[in-house]
Amino acid sequence: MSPRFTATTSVLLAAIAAVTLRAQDITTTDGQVYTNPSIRRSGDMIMVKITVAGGTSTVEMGLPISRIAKVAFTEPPELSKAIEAASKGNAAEVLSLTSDYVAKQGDLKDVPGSWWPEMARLQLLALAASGKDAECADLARQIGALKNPSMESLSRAGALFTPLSSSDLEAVLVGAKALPRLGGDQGSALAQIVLGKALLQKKDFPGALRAFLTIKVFYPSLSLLQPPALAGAAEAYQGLKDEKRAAQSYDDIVKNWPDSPQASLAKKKVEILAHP
Amino acid sequence: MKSLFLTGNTGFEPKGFIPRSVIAAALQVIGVILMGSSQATGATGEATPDDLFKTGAAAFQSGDYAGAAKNFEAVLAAGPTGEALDTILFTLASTYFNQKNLPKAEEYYGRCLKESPEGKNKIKALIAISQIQTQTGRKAEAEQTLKKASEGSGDLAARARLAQASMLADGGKPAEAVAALKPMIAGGIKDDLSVQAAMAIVEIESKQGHLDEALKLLDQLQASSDLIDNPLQLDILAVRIGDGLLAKGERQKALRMYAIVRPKQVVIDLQKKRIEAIEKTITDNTATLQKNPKNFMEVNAANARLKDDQQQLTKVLEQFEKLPDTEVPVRLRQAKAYDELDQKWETILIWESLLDSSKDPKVREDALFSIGAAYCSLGRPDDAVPALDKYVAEYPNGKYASQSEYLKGAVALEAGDFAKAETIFGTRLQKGDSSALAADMHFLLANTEFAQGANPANPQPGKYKEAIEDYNAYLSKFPSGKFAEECTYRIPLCSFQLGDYGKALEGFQSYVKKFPNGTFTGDAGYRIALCYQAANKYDDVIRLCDEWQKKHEGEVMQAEILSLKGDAYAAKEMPAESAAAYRASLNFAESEELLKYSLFEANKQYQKLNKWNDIAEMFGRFADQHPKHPAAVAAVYWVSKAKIKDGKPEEAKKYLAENILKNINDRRQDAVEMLLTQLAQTCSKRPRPPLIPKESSASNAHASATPAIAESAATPPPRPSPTPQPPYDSDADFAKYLSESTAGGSPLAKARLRFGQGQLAGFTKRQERQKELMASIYKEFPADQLSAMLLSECGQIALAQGDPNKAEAFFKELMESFPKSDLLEYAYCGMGEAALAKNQPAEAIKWFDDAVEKANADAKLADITFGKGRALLDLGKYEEAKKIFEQVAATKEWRGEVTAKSLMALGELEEKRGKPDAAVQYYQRVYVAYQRYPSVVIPAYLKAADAFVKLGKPGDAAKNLRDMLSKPRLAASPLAAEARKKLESLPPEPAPQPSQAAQGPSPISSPSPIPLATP
Repeated sequence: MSPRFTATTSVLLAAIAAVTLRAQDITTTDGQVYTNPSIRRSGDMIMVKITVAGGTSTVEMGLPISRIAKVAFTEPPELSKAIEAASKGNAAEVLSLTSDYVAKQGDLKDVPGSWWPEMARLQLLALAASGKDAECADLARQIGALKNPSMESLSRAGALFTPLSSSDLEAVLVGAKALPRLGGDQGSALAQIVLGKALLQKKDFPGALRAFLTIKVFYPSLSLLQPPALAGAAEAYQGLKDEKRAAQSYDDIVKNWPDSPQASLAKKKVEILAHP
Repeated sequence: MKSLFLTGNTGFEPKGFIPRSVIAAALQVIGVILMGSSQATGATGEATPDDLFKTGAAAFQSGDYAGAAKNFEAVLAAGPTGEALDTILFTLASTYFNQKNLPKAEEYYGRCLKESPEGKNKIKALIAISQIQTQTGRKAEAEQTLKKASEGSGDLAARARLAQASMLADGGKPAEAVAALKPMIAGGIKDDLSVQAAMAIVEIESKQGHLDEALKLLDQLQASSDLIDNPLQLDILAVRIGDGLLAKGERQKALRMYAIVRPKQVVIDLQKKRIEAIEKTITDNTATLQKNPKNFMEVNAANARLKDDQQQLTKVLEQFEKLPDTEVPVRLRQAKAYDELDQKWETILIWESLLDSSKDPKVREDALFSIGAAYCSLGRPDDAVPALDKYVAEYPNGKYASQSEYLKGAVALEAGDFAKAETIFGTRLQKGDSSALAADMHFLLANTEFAQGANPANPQPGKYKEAIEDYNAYLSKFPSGKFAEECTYRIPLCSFQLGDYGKALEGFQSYVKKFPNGTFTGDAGYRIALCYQAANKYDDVIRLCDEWQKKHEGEVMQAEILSLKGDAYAAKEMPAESAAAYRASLNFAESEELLKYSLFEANKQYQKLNKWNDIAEMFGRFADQHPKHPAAVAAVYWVSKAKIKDGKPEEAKKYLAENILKNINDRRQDAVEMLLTQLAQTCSKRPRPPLIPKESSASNAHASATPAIAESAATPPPRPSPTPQPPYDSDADFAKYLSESTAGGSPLAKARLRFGQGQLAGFTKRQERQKELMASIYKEFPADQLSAMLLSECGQIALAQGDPNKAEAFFKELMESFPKSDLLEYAYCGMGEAALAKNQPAEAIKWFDDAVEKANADAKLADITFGKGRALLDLGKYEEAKKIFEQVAATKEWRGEVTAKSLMALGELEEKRGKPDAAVQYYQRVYVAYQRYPSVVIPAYLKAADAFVKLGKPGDAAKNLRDMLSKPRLAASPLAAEARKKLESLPPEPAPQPSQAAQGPSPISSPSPIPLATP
């Protein structure tokens, strides 16, 4: 490489390559670009249909997924709205925005550049936040099948809902502790939700409280999980007979997460705890 | 250009420009477009444009820009058009750029833009021109050029926008810079460019002091932390903004920022993983060359980019590894902030994270003590003591050693573990603690002893003596100590508690003399009077109470003094004075117990005086003043009773109705249903006229004043037979006080009205009407509108109607909305029964266990125990089930329907075990002893018949069924149809055979050989 080529130049080069792509352009790992083809899935291949020079006829050819560097899929319009809803802890809205896409676009989910993992990530967290444990575990398995390293911990955490549903609490404990509690990613936070629920079932209220508060203290920006974590913490406080703090947790949900699935119950609980 | 950002890779800094990959891409274009031209010139033997371009490209690759430019100029001279012209102009411009021939480069980029204003190289050309303008000192022009470039679309335009923002910020235009960047994050932070834009905005906003805007974005950035190449930058920004917020007192917001900082090792591991991932991609890319060698230029270009990224990440990592860990100071800030917010569990979490991550012994010492102290604040001695013990074990002479022991004792004292507190304080003092806390520990030691003496659960009077010794010890060691006055008061208090009123009196009098205006003077005065009461010196008590009132009017013990005065008058059989004193006490009493005591003692005195008006007035006022007091319902009851006694049933009902209507829309007022029941009961009977009507008694009185002779001589007039009264309409009477028009239209009011009407139907023996009304509540009103009592009733109705799902809805609402209701056990039990109905026995057991553990079941304990037995039976756990059923059947207090059901269940259990003979015994016990419960008895007959058939005794089966059908009450039941049907398939009843009678009973009619157990 020429000594004149700096890091910035290389960054710019990448941008130059990207700028030539259009809506669904495909870039292969060897740098080849297929402009605006229509594509479909066939086993481990992506069938790419391109218009030959002159625009009079089309040719379809198969590309192994492993050869695809990126497909510039158009961003689903629901994604930004779902991110906005997630920031308000509005799991119901996130589910309504993502469910259709996740269900119907799964065919190309493992293609590099697919928006499916991002939409599925949001849906997974929303399912967990809504207490839809079985659906969450199912989606986690689908995400795990992607073999995407950045989604691995999320998939492992989501899969813990399966042993939770069957009250195999020891399996939950082992699985949750296999993920880093602090400094991890969203999977770590999700695992703490499952762990907290399992410990509540075991009536280990201090342990459950620690798990739920870990999300509040160390993952405060993970908005979708804040309301269930606060609700779990409130339940643990009640188990510890600390009704004052339980009321504060519920009040926190009512005030800061009014659109969350937990808000309605939290409102009732605040009222009850305020007028025992 | 000076970078706005913290590292070089976050912004656009055009230094060098066109690398080999551009040439490779251009080659493809030129190769295709000039194909015709190449072939034409190739025929003459001269170099074709294709050859020239390849030669130029090779020169470019080797850094020979002059040679490259010469060849590219030759290609240009061949007269390419369209895309080929655009490409060769851009390539040539880039070659001059790398050659540092900036004027030429600018000229060709300009031509490129002129020839192809919307060409594919437009943005690249604009960026390059802006670089040239910057390098030649034309910043304003550069800014404008970048602005044009940023107006395009795609990543390159975005990078141009970043660069433009950087220039604006550097040029003192932060607001414009933010405005330029904001569109880049409008769709959220989803890729590295939006991350860079967000980071840049955070940087600018935080420098501007716009911390809230920065916080919001940083929050979003943390959520996308997997996209961030430079975690260090994120940490620095987070700490800076967090500190800014903390300085402004905005702790919660600061805490959100500090949470972004991750443990150093975690960041290092993440960064290493990213570097490894890039390495793998490079290797994979290189491997593709074996399959497709002609793409070596593209692959090289891609790998060059990746290697640059890798180098950049490695550089950041190296810098990061050398820096001190920011985690510890940040966590300390978090711990302090959470502590100040009284969020002690959160504080503990932070200190625990420091224990895990920090090797610093000072941090460890602080952490261990702080965790213990936080548990103390939470009132959790079982956690605090081990934590503080751990501290003391590791730091026996540490800076918090004395505080640790003090806290351990204090928390045990507060938690009511007085013996433990005594041991802790005693041990510490024995060791000769001379810290500032020693005096406090002496006093608290004596208090622990006092508390053990006064412990109502386990009173240890002997401990008062130890307390007296230790209070005296305190006084001798610290005669002017801050607790000296309290010790002086507590010593006679101990004697008082020991029943040594002589010593107590002496001590209290001495205290009052020494501290005439002391904190406990009022209390001491009250106890002096109590000492006289104990000695039955009632006149002295009354005198002392009067003196007390003069001296301490309005003080906290006034209600107690008045109540004591009432006691003294009561003992002297002076009910009027006693009642007056108790009534006066009610005006000052604050505690529930004293209120209740004075109220009901006054009631007793008024009853002695037959003053029902005063009773009504007193309870009426009490109910008005203390509507939430547990005795308020009783007060309403007494008022209504007093009114009835006083011959005012209409007033009584009106009063009840008024009190019902006050709370009819408040679902939390359980008492409403009780008052409704009382009203219904009162309305169920025709009001009796007073035995001696007031008018007639008055006329009698008048008559008695007239000469008696004529009266006595007169023959009593014949008494007319009483006029038959019209039939009494209790519903109409009830409606006079409570109806839809008075109750209002809310669902709860309507439901409660129906409940009252149902109760009335029950009292007037119209059970079907009662059922109908209750069922209408169950059907028509949503669970979240009903009171606890109605929820419980509706849940039961739903269960009885075979709708467990609906029953669950009512019971769940009861549990969620009334977690402290006395009816909670009904909800848990109902949930268990619903689970049983849904064939979920394991779930049912959980609910039944919760009913006992969480709801402290009492009234429903029999049903709960039976339910658990049923669940175990369904699970096939026969032995456990049998024990439970036997326990229910043997419990005398539970005797009734549940006993019958348990016997029935025992029969079923034996049948499941294949022992129909044993089963029959249980069924027979049911129908012999529990005929009151046809819902159990009829199935028992049916089951017994089946069992007899199994035993090969169809005759016995038939006899049993006939026996059942001979009982009119059972025969009338809908269940009897099944018995009749069974009977048809069994042997007919033998005709009476008198001759046989002489021979003795037939085997069929003989009594069962099975002994019938006495219930």
